[in-house]
This record gives sequence, structure tokens and C-alpha cells, in this order.
Amino acid sequence: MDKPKLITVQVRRGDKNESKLVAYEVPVEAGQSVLGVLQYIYDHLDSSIGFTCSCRIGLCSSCLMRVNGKVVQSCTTLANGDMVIEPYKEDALVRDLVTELPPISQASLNNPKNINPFKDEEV
Amino acid sequence: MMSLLIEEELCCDVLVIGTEGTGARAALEAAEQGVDVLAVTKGFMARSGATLTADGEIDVDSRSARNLFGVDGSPDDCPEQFAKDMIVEGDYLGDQRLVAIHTEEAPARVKELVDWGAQLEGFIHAPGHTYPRGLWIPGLKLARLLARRMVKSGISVLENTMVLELLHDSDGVMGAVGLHLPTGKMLLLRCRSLVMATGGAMRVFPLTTAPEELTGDGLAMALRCGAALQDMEFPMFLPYCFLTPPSLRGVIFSYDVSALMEVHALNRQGERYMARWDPERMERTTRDINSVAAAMEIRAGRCSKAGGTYLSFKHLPRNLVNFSAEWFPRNLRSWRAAGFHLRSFFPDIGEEAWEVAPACHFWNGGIRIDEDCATNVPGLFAAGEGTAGIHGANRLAGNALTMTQVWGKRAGASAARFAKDGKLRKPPTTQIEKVVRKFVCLKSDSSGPTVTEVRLEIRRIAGDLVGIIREEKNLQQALKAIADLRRDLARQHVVNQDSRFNREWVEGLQNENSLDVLEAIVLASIARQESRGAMYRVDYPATDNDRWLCNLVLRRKDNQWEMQEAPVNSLYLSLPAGTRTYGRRGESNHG
Repeated sequence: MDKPKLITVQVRRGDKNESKLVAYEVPVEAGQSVLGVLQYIYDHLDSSIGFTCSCRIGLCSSCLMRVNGKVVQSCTTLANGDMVIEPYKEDALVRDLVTELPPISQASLNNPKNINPFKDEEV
Repeated sequence: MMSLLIEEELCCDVLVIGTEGTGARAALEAAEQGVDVLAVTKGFMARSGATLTADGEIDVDSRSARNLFGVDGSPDDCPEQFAKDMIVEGDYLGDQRLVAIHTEEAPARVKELVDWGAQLEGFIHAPGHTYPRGLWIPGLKLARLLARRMVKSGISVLENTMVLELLHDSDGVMGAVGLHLPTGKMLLLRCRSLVMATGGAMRVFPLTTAPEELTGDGLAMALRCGAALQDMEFPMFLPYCFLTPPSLRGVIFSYDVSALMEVHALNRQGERYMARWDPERMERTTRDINSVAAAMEIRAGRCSKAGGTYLSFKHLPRNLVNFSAEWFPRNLRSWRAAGFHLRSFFPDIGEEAWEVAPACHFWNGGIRIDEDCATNVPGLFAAGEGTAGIHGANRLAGNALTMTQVWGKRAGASAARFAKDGKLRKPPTTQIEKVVRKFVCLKSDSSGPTVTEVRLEIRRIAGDLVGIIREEKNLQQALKAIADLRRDLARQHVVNQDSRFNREWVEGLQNENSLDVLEAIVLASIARQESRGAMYRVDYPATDNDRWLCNLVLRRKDNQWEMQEAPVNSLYLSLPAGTRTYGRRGESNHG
């Protein structure tokens, strides 16, 4: 693996009432994910950062967030350069990047083809 | 009064901890029996846990698959043959009474899933099975199907709630204390009986295919309330999982590819080292031998740049590799794997070798149960991954999902039966206070290492001193390191005091659970002076059937461990004798 490069990651921190972008400098190797970047921030820079994740392979959608304006699963999105990470849905925000995922809607549960339960509602 | 910190009290007949494959099935069955069920999960329902990550095989004997679902199964198979394969592949440590129930009830459980709307998307013959048995229902669809049914059945589900400890006295379980993660509130959960369905503890190891939640919470809580653990020396490792790039670390798809095509496993010298382990079958030998061989190469310093081994298919013609994108099973079609596009990492697939290593994939052992999923603690039932006796020392492919349904239903039925006769008792204040004090202490004592340091140290011990290749010297060192870490546990340093989704609190609490589980693995691994199934001792490399055909059972009383050797239940198939080379289980070895 090549030498890690340093990127600037701005994370929206706070809650519905008040939030601001906080910047972190993070070394990333090629092929690192956005979730990996957040894990690095939590482990080494700022353990107060709030985010949720589970499967890490792009199936569960518990790590949905908005990266450079686009709603993605952070585990399968690569950290290629400087970025802004925000909660995927402001109105369901609990804290930082944690949003209260609504109960899986009956519609998405009833449609076996719908792999991502948020696909229809988010963008 | 510490117990005043409890902010809410919820009562139910049956409390189910875990809401995925096993937990959901248990909750559905209990509700069906007419009792009031509360199901609790640390994550989001149908969006966390191991079930949804399952590729999708669910095993039933071939004949039943043929008769019930019209697939191309062999009429020569039967539940007894399936049971025999499980016992042999489990290296004879499975509880034969449980195994027989498992294979007998599997067809009816899968039939229910189909009646509830599950679609069977294929039927495969996985290694280790004498006949094709793997009906294909992707884990994500299974998790959603069960979640939908839970919602329909009116079962109360509490998401994002981590259970910290079970409450009990000599008459049995009375409930649990939970932490509601979105608010940081402490909850008292009262019940007449309880089903533990929290899965394995794979996250104890540094490289794992398992999701975030699987830190051994259920095993540790059951242990701390007096339940026995069994076969803890057999965490299962899957060979050839991605080591790099970082976002693919621990991802299973490179293993899947290795099962579909003729791959070469190479060390840094370019040697196909499997020739020294199984010259006939090479990389097509069993998963445990592949894992042990890779770990031995890494240990000998012949590792890849990132510390693993290389998986190459450069020897295959380009058009053959390209064609695979068309016929690979659904989970790998077009080199897309779950949410990943493998071509975005490896534009020219087949040109470069992948750096891979064995990753912890499944928990063969766990809470000791009987055929009713009862533990030795009255009112405490357990099922699914993280219970012992079904898979013995090694699991057959596709049998994890079967386990969720057969044993989830059994646990739900038993817990409901117990609840109907049982009382809703008031948990002793002293116990509630003890749990609350543990939590308050985590939040306030900051003199020790950070929770992240503790987590990383647990994984370092698990990876460097326990791992796949075990030996007395390292295991003793691990015990010492665990003892040191135990002293730090009560003084873990927490920076963040925000009560909403506080990751440090969760990890601090998980660390205690992971450490209990890790110590159980180490103690059982020291005791078992042989190599068998998923466990390899470099200082005792042979399988010794005369001495070690027994289950190691661990309990902890007053912070002291007790270990017993329990005879294997061999109702149906006689146990082998003599000593043999590790890994050679006989004709049913898969190729």
C-alpha cells in the first residue's frame, strides 16, 4: 500500500437545534471507506463523534449519511479526497451523524426487490 | 439510591434479546403461544446483526427439499444422513440428540418461511454435505420477512437498546437492565422468562466477517448469571477473506471466489504452500485446514506485504475470468459483492493477487442448552449462534440459517411454556444497583486507558496470542494480559458525556463482555491438548479421540472459573477411537 495521504474531513456535529462543521485531518490509504475515516476519527482524534454502522458491506443501511451532498452508505463509499459528511436526514437527526431510522416502512418490507429500504424516500 | 437512575420499567412475559433470525423466530413462536413478548435489539431491527449478512443458504436434507419444494434434490438423502454429516464435520463434538432434532425439524421450519412469503432463489451443493442441501434465501430478505411478521403479530420491539446485565436469584431470571442508546436512559425490563439470541462474539478478533454488534454480550451476560458455556475453544475462521484495501478488510467475497474457481494460495515467495498441507486437494481442502495453513505461513514470516497471504487467479485465461461475471451466483454477479464493486478496487480482475487472511466468521460454541433450549439457569433460554452442541467443533456451510429457525422456534415455545407457569417477580434492588453502579463507574472513573485502547488491546490479545494457531506459551501470556486488562476495565477512560448514542459507553460495556468471552476461549484452549475442528494447537497437532472426545464446560462462580469435561452425547453414531493427523475426518471431507 502506498503512503497514506492526508485529507480534510468536515463533519457536521450537533443536533436539530444547533450544528456546525468540524474539520479533521485524516490520513487515508487507497481504498479506505468513509466509514473507515469516521472510525479513525473516533479511535484517534475525537471519541465524542456520533455515528452508527453494522454490516460494513453495504447491506444494512445503518450507516447512511450524506457525503459531499449525496446520500450514500458510508461503508461502501471510498474516501478519495477532502469531503463534507453530514447526517442523511436533518429532520430525524439525533446527534452528529446519527439519525433515528424510521421503522422500516410496510411498503419497503413488502417489496422484496427493494434492497435499500430508504431508496425511494431519500433523494 | 442508585436504582433511582432507572427511568422506565417495562414488563412482559417473555423477553427476547436479539431480533434477527433466531430472536425473531423465538418472539414469533412465543407470541403464537399467547404470551406477551418484548424483543430488544442493540441495533436497528432488520438492519443489524449477522442474519442479514448471510449469503443465503439454509440447509435441509436433500430428499425433503425435493419433496417439499420441487428442487433437484437427491431422494437418497434423509435427515439421518444430514445428521451424520453434521456430526462427522463437527469432528464428533456435536450433541447427537440436538443434531437429530436439528435435521428432523429443518424441513418444517423452511416450509413455514416459504408459506410466509420467502422465495427460494436456488439450490446448491456446498462442501461437506453428502448431497445438495442449500436452499437459497438471502439473509437480508429473511431478516425483513421475519421483521414484517413481527410487526404484523403486534410484538413490541425495542430498538437501539443494549442489555447490560440479567437480573436473577436462585429461582431464576427475573429480567434485565437495558440502556436505551438514543436517550442514555436506563431501563428495567421485567419478565417471567428470557430468550438469549444475541449471536456470536466474532468481533473479539481483529479480522472478522461479522457485523459490529457481535461482541459476545449474550454469552458473557449468561455466564455472569450462572449459565454454563461449552465448546468455547472453537471459534470458526474462514480462509481467504480480504485483508486490503482497508474498506474490504474482513470482507468475505474473496473467500466466495476461492470456492467458485481454481485459485492459487501463495506465500511471499510465490510458493503454493498448500502442497505441504494437502498435496492432493491443495486449496480445495477444508476451510479449517486452509485457515491453519495460511496462519502458519503468516507466523513463519512468509506473509504478504499487508501481513496475509496472496490469492491469485492469474493462471486462468482472461476470457475464462471474464466469463465468471456472468455465471457467478447472485451475490457475486458481475463482480459486484453486496454494496461493493470489486472492479473499482481491481480494475483488471485476475491481474493482481489479492491479499487475504483467515477471518473469524462464526461461533461454534456458546451457552450450553438442552433440547428445549433451556440453560442451567431457570427461565433462561438460549438459541442460535452462541449456543453449543449443534455444530460441535466445526459448522457445515448453510447450517447457520437453519439453526436460527429450528432453535429460535424451540426457544420461543419453551420460554412461553415457562412464562405461563412463572411469576413476574420483583428483581432485587441490590442487583439493579450493582448494574447501575457499573455504568455510573464507567461514566465517571477516568483514571485508566480509554475504551478504544481497551478494545484494541482485547483484539491484539485475541489476534496475536490466541488466534488460529494456538500454543501453551502464548495462551498463558494471553491469560496474564487478560488479568492485567481486567484491572483496567473498571477504570476505563470515557471522554464523551453526551447521553445520545454515546459510542464510548457502548464500547466500554462491550469490552467487559468481550474480555469474559476471550478468557473462556483461552481457558478452554489451554485445557484441550489436541487439535480438532476449528482449533489447532501447534504444540499438540494431532486429533486425539481417546483422550479428547469430550465437551469442555465452563462456569464462573464468585469470579472463579470452573471447568468440567462432559461426555459427548452419542445416541446415534458411535465415536471414533485412536489418534489421527489433524483435519483428516474421513470420506466426508469436502473437495
